[in-house]
Amino acid sequence: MSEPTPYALSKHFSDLIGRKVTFTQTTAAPETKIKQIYGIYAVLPGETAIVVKSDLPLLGSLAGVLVGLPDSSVKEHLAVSPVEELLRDAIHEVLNITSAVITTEGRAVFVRMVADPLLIDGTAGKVFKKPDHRSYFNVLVDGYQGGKFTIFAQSAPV
Amino acid sequence: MDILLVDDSKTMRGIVQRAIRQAGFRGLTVGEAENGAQALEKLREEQPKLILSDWNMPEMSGIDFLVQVRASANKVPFGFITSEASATIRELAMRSGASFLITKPFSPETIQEALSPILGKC
Repeated sequence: MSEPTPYALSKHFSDLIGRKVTFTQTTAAPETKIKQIYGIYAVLPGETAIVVKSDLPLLGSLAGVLVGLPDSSVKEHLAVSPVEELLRDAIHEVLNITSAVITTEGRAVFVRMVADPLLIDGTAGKVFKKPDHRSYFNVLVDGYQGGKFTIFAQSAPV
Repeated sequence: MDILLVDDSKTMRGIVQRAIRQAGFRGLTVGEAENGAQALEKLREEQPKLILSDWNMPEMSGIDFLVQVRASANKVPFGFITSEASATIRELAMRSGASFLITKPFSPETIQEALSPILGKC
């Protein structure tokens, strides 16, 4: 499985939201209490999967810029649970568009997003629990909250 | 209706509408549908000058929608706006009768280049 470079990810998301987004590859960091969102992708034609784990504030920032919310409004929206439809739909779309850059081999199709890792099942669940590759990134979003972004992938069908 | 915009994401429909305006196309009437099946119903009522459709949608995908549109002998210009970026998908789209395929993320300039030949210079 060929994974995207920090440059490709930075360019993709900068192009998406029209603001500077910087991905920096890093190493595994301790878990925090920051809420996470998981994007599940099917990779065709090999019937494999990719899982993306992202800090909710980061996805909220990307989504908020997309729908024209300032940083302060994004923070207010994220403080409410469940996240209000406008931002939730935009987060869904950010994860959907992420499929275009998530792998350089095969075709990634966004399946769904979940907030609870226990809901990652099937092939994606196996990849998430025992990936062949993990790529860790710290992400900065100009003028907004950044966060951590991790890609879990496999190189062969499970 | 000038454009029928088909996407299951309300957010993306808003983003595309904004990009169309930023591309300089003003005063266009844009109808919306959440999937291919709903769009086919809209087409029975009104013929747009252009259809802009997502690829992956519930109920009926963009490519199935295009195939059905062409099967009904409707030659309305049809373009995809999708996160599907592979050459295979692009070839399938063109072979099935699409005029263009724009990959997300896109800029207003990309929208202008794709729409101008169909809607005229803005």
